[in-house]
Amino acid sequence: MNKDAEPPAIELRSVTKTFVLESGERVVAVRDTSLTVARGEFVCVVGPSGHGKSTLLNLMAGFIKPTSGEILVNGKPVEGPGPDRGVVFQQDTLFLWRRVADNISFGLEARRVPKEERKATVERYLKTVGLEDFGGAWPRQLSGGMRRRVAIAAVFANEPDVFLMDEPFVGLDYLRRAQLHKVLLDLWEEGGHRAVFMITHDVDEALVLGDRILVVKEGRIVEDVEVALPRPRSTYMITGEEASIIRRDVVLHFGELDIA
Amino acid sequence: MGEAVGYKRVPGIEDVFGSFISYAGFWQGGLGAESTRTGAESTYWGATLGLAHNTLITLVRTAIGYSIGVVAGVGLGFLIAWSRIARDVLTFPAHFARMMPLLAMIPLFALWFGNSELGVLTFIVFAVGILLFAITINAIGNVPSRYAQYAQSLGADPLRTYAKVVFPASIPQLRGGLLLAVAFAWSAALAAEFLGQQVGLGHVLQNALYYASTDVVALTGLVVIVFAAITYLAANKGLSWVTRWSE
Repeated sequence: MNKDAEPPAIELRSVTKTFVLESGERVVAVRDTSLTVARGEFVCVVGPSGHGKSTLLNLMAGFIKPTSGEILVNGKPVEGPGPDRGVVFQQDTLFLWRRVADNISFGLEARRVPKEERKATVERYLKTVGLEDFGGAWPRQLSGGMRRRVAIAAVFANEPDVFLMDEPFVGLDYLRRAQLHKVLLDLWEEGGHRAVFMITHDVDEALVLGDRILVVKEGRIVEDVEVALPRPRSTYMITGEEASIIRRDVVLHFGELDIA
Repeated sequence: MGEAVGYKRVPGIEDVFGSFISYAGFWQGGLGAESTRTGAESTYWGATLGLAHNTLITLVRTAIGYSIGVVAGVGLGFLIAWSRIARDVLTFPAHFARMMPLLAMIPLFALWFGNSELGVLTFIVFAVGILLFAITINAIGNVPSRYAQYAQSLGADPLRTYAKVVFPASIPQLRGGLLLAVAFAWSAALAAEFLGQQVGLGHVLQNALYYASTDVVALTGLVVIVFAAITYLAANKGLSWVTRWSE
């Protein structure tokens, strides 16, 4: 192995996470999982609900510790949450008491970025997500889609090495999702293609965004598919033959549907 | 049957408003109205000054006691709730203390502080503070953990996360307690004045009850309701502005 080679963006080494319920029952959410996400790679994770996808993400974010195994981000062990791993949550986490621009600048303030630089960064990201006229608005004055854009901009503005996203577009209609996919990809390209680990329930979304699709079932990665479609990916492309083969492969790993 | 004579225990509306002139007896003289204690006659101007003076005294005591009580109760709750262990340990005693009958505590405060201004203020601060202490601990415990996780993933240290995220997130839950504390402050001020002060609406009430002047008691009750309502509305407006971002 070449010692000078850059370490992967995310590396999981035989990670297991077990929860003990109040009843005393032990539930294994993640089982002996190993995974490598290269720098700049966009990985989408699909799988049935309650099979360990969010636990995987929470482990990478440092919100919980593994029962056994090791997690490394850019070669450094994960000890807890940190600004090197930006997290976009499924639920709304915007700070309602801070205006939109102040939400985007929160991470920059926390890292003591100088005021002028903060201001310029916030303006740039507001423009990228199409909210340049809403910097002074309160989050409650925004629609659901606009709030997701602010949440994503706030995380990207902080320039983490790795983006962890837990169903960031859940509950939005098709059109809003499509718009946000473009916003996300624009930010990803603008940010120098940092690694993304995104959980979704929508296989089409994974086909539009991902370089790889992982299927997680019963706490294990049961399938790892490369999406070798060129970017940007149009509707025709993700409904074409090559995408259909990937879709079928992914869906089949969810398990056979018991529908007569 | 002959006509009933004597003092009416249950005054009519006319009696209540007619008793306004009695407030002249609570004016110590000056501003063009002599004190009735010097033998001067009761006048409406004297009554107006007597009511205004006593109301102002109670209002100032309430406002000062409320303000210090808010700072003490919320501040202490905020500091204690920093530690999850301290929060868990103190939640029950705080709620227990909140249940203590305030009026029963007055003699204790009188023993500690005498019938001094400090005693009145301390009692109001205690009444407001203990209520808000329990509510603050509860409110901070109810802030969803995802806010703190999100802040930490953006690089915020624990102190910044607590002061700039957890505390503001708890404010909408504190709002109800802060409004309830306005009523508590008024009750505490009246109770403390009732038992040991020579001036204030509580003193007026005590004096009126001593002489069985139920008309004055009723009118003073109305005055308290009006001023308590005004302060409540003012506090509500202020808190609406503070939480204008809330959904």
